[in-house]
Parts: sequence; C-alpha cells; structure tokens
Amino acid sequence: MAGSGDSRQETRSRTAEEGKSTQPVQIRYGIHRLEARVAGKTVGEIRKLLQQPLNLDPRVIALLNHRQVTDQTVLRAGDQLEFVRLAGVKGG
Amino acid sequence: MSNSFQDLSPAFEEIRKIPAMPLERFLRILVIGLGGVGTALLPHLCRYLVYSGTGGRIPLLLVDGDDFENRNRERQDFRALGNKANIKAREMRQLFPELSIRSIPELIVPENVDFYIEERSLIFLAVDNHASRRLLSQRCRMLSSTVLISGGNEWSDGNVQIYVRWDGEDLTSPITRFHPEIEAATDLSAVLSCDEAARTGEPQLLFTNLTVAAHMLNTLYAVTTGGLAYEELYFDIVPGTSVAIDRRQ
Repeated sequence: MAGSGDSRQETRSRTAEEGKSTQPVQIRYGIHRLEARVAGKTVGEIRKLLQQPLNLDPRVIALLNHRQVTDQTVLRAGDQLEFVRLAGVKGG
Repeated sequence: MSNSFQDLSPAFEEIRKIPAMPLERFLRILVIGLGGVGTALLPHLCRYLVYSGTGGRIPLLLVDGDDFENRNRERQDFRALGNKANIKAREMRQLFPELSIRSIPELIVPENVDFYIEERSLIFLAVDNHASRRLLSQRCRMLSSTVLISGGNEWSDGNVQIYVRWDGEDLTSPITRFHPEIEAATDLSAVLSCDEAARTGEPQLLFTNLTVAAHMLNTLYAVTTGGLAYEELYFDIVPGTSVAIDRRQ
C-alpha cells in the first residue's frame, strides 16, 4: 500500500514539473508586460525581437528574476525578464 | 481542469511593504527643481503638509537657480518674473502661512550639496537632467537616513523612483542602481535646462508634467503611511497606463 501512495505522490510532482516547464517567460519593459513561450532563447535574442515593436533602447540593462544578466543568458520556463526602461530626463 | 489557486498564484505573491516613514521623522522637506513638475506638485504638497496635522512643523525648502521667464507660461504657473525659488516661496507663504518656507535660489552642485542635503531630509527631485539626479543620489547614499523621490518625463511618458535609506540601510535601490544612464551622467556644466531644451526642439507636455507630479505625491503618501511596495513606477498618459516595479531581492 505504501508503494501506491508513493506512486500517487510521484504522479503529482511530475504533473507539477510538467506544468512548470510549459510556463511562459514574463517580460517587462516600462509599462509593457507580455508572456511568451521563449524558454531556451537568450536574453539577447529577446532584446532583438522586441527592439522594434517596443522601441527598446539598446542601452537598457536586462534583469532576470531581479538580477542583472548578460545578453548570453539563456531563459528558462517561468523566468521574469525585465529590460529596465531609461529614466525620463525632463520635468523642469 | 486546472487548479484555480495555482493559476492565480502570482496574484497572491507576498507584497513586501516598506515600513512607514511618517512625516514626523523628517527634519526638512526639499523640492529641488521648480519647473513643470516641481511647480505642479508644490501647492498640493503644501496643502497636504498643512492638513496632515504634522507636516506644518517641518521646514520646506524650495531650490532652483533658474529664473522664470514669460515663455515658461505654457507649463508653469508663476505670478511674477525672477528667480523661481524666491517667487514660489513668496506665493506659497501667502497661500499657506502655517508653513515655514525658505527659498534657496541656487542650483545644487558638488560644492553645495553636502551643505543643503542633510540627515533626515525628504527630497522631491524634479530636475531636468541626469547629472543632478546622480549628484543627489550619491549624496543620499552617504547619509544614514533620507528619502529621495525623483521624477522625470519625456513627451507622454515618464517615471518616478524612490530611494529609501534609513538608519544606514537601503530599503529600496538607489536611483542609479538599474539606470546606467543616470550613473554615467557626470557633467553638470553640459546640462541644458528644460527651457533651453524646449527652444532647441525638445518640448514637453503639460499633462505629462502633471502626471509625474501626481505620482511623486502618491509615492509620498505610500511611503509615509506604510503602503509602499515599489521602487520605480512607469507611466504613459496616452494609453493611460501606470506600472509599479519592485526590484528588491
């Protein structure tokens, strides 16, 4: 009986893992937020993809799960990627 | 069928609020920069200080080295010509005699920043250049306790950042931490004022200035009442969107 209990537990955790692996990457840039299934791509590839549609400034830094990363970093399912929009200069 | 609680889990992430920094903790409040944003937030800040019950006892310092000229009228409300800090201080004293308001008709530069920015200052930074933002950020990082609320904008969009440092501990990130464009801005002498920038084809929109000012005041309310859970806020007035960002680890 103990064996069948373990098997149920295994099934549950496998399902959770499977769910996790299909999670999209959350991407933010200023007011923009989107989710995309881009696990396996690099930060630099996403930067290129978004450069035109979001008018992404090439100088912005990338944060992956709140830590600064290089463009070579590979994304994983469920990651949170932020390109930090440049601060507004004016106001005076 | 999916588990609805799992689906909603991001909404239930722990919201980590910064402990309240009530106004009583501050020894002075500064508004640095009295252009489109600074003049928009100032009367509302004064009214809030008077009627919040405690703010009226805290000295309010208005800082700007520029003069108001007639061509500033499209975005700025002044009743006389002359130095912006002096004129606004006079106007606010008439409207709010309960407040102790002083003017500092100077630009903040490396030579005077230590003198004017002291411990337990609450600073509204509404300037028009990153070199000044960098200077103020550096100074605040050297102090033990201070709160810096900095706003900036482009044509229809902008951002507000808040740096809270208390008892020697950074409770939010310094405003240069994720902004290399501010960190790299070192040359105050190369700064074009917004008035000069407007003349050279970089105009600003009054409504965007007002939105920066409103968000700076909202941030004040959040940090003084214990509701602050972000360190930067972005907005764009055209789609009507504001997004608050928390980058704390």
